[in-house]
Amino acid sequence: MSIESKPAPSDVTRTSDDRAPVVAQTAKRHISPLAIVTVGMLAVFVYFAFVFAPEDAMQGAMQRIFYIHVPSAWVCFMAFFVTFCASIGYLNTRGETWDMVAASSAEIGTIFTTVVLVTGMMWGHAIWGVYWTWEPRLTSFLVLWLMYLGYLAVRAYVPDPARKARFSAVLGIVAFIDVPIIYLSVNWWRTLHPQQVIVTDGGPKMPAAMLIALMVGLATFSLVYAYLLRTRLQVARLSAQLEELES
Amino acid sequence: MQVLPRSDLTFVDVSKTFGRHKVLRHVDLTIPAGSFVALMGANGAGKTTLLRLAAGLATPTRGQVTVAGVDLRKAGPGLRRMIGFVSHDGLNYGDLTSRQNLLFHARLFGVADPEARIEELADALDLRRVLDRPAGVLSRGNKQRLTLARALLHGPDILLLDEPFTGLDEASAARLVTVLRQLHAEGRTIVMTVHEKSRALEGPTRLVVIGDHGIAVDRPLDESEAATVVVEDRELELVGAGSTPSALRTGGGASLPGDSDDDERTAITARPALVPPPKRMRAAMAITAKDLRVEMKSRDVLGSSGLFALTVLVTASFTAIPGGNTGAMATGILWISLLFAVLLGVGRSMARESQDRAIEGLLLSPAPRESIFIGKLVAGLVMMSAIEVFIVPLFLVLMTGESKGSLDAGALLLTVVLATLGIVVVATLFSGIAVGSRMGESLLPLIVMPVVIPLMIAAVETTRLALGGGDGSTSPTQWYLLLAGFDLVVGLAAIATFSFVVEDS
Repeated sequence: MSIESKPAPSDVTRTSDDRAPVVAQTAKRHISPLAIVTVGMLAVFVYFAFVFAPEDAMQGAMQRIFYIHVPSAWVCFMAFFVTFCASIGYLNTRGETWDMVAASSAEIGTIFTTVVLVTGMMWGHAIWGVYWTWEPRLTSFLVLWLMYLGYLAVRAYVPDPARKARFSAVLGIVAFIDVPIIYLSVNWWRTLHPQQVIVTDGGPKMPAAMLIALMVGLATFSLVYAYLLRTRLQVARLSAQLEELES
Repeated sequence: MQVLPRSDLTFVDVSKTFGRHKVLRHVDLTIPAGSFVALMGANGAGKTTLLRLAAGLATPTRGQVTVAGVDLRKAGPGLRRMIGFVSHDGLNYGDLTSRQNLLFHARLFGVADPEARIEELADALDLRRVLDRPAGVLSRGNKQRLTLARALLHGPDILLLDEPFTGLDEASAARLVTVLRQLHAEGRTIVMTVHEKSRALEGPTRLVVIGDHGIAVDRPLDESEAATVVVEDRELELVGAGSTPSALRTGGGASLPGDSDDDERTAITARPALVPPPKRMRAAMAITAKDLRVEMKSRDVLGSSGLFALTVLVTASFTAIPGGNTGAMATGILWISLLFAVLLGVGRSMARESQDRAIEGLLLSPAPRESIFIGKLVAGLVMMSAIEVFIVPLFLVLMTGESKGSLDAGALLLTVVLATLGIVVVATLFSGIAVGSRMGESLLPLIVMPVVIPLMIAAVETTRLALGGGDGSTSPTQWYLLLAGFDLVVGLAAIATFSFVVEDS
C-alpha cells in the first residue's frame, strides 16, 4: 500500500483552519503499480534464491545468503551514486527536489549497507568461523556505513534547511569518492573475502542457475530501492507541505 | 563630482526563503547608481536579507540580483570590489588589532598603499587611539567605526549599511550622516537600513519600506520632510556639544564644504589607488599569514592540539602498549593523536572565522573562493607541522624503545607529509560544516574520521614499515599511492566544494 502524497496546488495555500481536510485528502490510499510489481518480483526472487538455485556443494544452504548480500551491496552503491548525482544537482540548481532525492537515497543506502554488514557477518561466521574479521571489503562497507551515518547526523544537526542541503550535498559528494576505493580494494589489499566471481576477465565463474538467481535478486532489490525511494520522496514532500502550512 | 561607471543595483522578482519561512516575496527594485536609499521595515521584514543579497553574501531563492547588469551569483573580483558592506557584525578578527584587520582586508582588495589608506581613515574616523588595540576589546562604537573603515578601504561604488548608527553616540552618528552625504555627493550609491525615522531621513533621497508582501512604500523623500528632522537633530547635538571631539562637531547632517573637517571627509570619501587584487595563490598566502598571525596572538590551536597529542601519547604508553613496540598499535596511537590534534586545531581555526562572522569579510573580498580553502589549508598544515616536529620524535623515543628494526627517516617523513595533508584537507572542508551545525565543533570527528579511515590505515602501515616493522610481504608503494591518490582526489573535491560550505544561506 502506498500513500498518495501529491495534493492539489490549492491545498498548500489553505489557511490553518483547513489543515485537517488537507491531511484527510492527502491520506487517500491506493496501491501503486510499482508496489504491485515490486511485491511480485519479491515472490519470484524468493523462488529463485531458495528453490531454483542449486545448493552450494561447499557452503551448503548458508551460501544462499549471497542472493541477499550481493544485491544489497549493489543497491547500496546505486543509492549512494544517486545521492552523489543529486548532491551535484542540488549544488548546481539549488532545487529542493534534488536535496530530497539525495537525502532519501542516502537513508535507503544506509539501510542496505546495514543489510550488507549483517549478512556479511552471518556469512562470515558460517564460512570463516568468526562474525567479524577486519577484511578490507567488509571494513570498507563499515567505513561507508559510518560516513553515511555522519551524513544523516549533519542533516539532523543543521536546522536551517538550505544550509543543511548544502552541507549534506558536499558530504554526499566527498563520501562517494570512497566508493571506488571500496570496489577496488579487493584488488589492492590481500583479502580473506571471496574474490570477484561475476565480473572477471574470463567471464562469470558461477553456475548458470546461481547467476540467474543473482540477476533476479539484483532486479528485485533495484525495484525495492525504487519503491522505497518513491515512497520516501512522497513523505518528504508531505513533510515539506506540512511545515509550510504550519509556518 | 567624479564620473563613475553605471553601477545600478537591481532586484528582479527576488524571493528569499529560510526553510519554510518566506522573508522576501517578489521584490522588484531598481536602485540607480548614485542613489541614497533609506530602507525601512518592521523587525523581520527582510531589510538585512535584502542588503546581504545585494552584497552577494546570500543568494536569492528565486529571482536575480544584479550590479551593473551582472548577476551577483557570477560576481568576479572586479564586481566584489565595487561593494562595501557594513553589517551588524564587525566581520573582523577579534585577536588582531584594528590596524592588522584593516591591512589584511586592504591587501585582499588590492589597495595600492594600504598603510597610507589606513592612516587616512584612522584620522578621519577617529580610530587612531584604538588602531593598535585588538578588535575584540573595542567598544561598540569603536567597533562600528572599524567596520565602517573596513567597508570604505577600497572606495566602493556601492555602500550597503545595515543599521550603521547602532552603537554610535550622538556626535559620531551626526558625523556619519555628514560622511554619507559627502559620499552621496560624489556619486556613490548608498543603501542603508535604519530603525530610527529621524536618521533614515537625513541624507537619503529615497525611502523604501519593506512590508509583509514585498516593497510597501517606494517614494522620494521631499526636502521639507528632511529639513524638519535635521533641525531636531541639530538641537540634540548642541546639548551634547561640550563633550564632542572637534573632529565630530560638524554633525547634524549638513554638507559643509569649506569646513575645517574637509580634509578628513575627503580622506573618507576619496577613492584610493587600487592595483589588481591578489590572484589565487597570493590571496591564499595572505589568508595563511592572517591565520598564523591570529594563532601567534592567541596560541590556542598550538597549545590545545599539541598538548592533546602529547597527552594521548603519554597516556597510551601506560595503557595500550606497556613495554613499547613498533607494531600497528603504537603507530596507530601516533596517528590517532595526530588526527585529533588536527580536528581540535582546524575546528578551532574555523570557529574563529565564524566569530563576529569574520568569514564574511573574506567572502566580500575579491579573493577567489578556493584561495580561502587553500589559505586555511596551508595554515593548518603549518600549525600541524609545528606540532609534529615535537610529537613524532617524542613518539620515537617513548614508543619504539624496543624496536629491532632500523628507522627509514625519509619514508617516515613522506608518510607524515602525505597523511597530514589528507587529514587537514578533509578537516578544513568539514570544519565549515561542523561549525555551522547545532553541535558545533564536536560534530567534526563524527564526519571526518570515517572519511579518513583509509588514510589512517595507510599511514599506520607506512609508518610501521618506515620503523622497520612488518614481515616484508607488504609493499609500501601501494600505500603511498593510496595516500597520494586520496590527497589528490579529496583535495580536488574539497577545492570544488568549499565555497558551498562557507557561503551563507
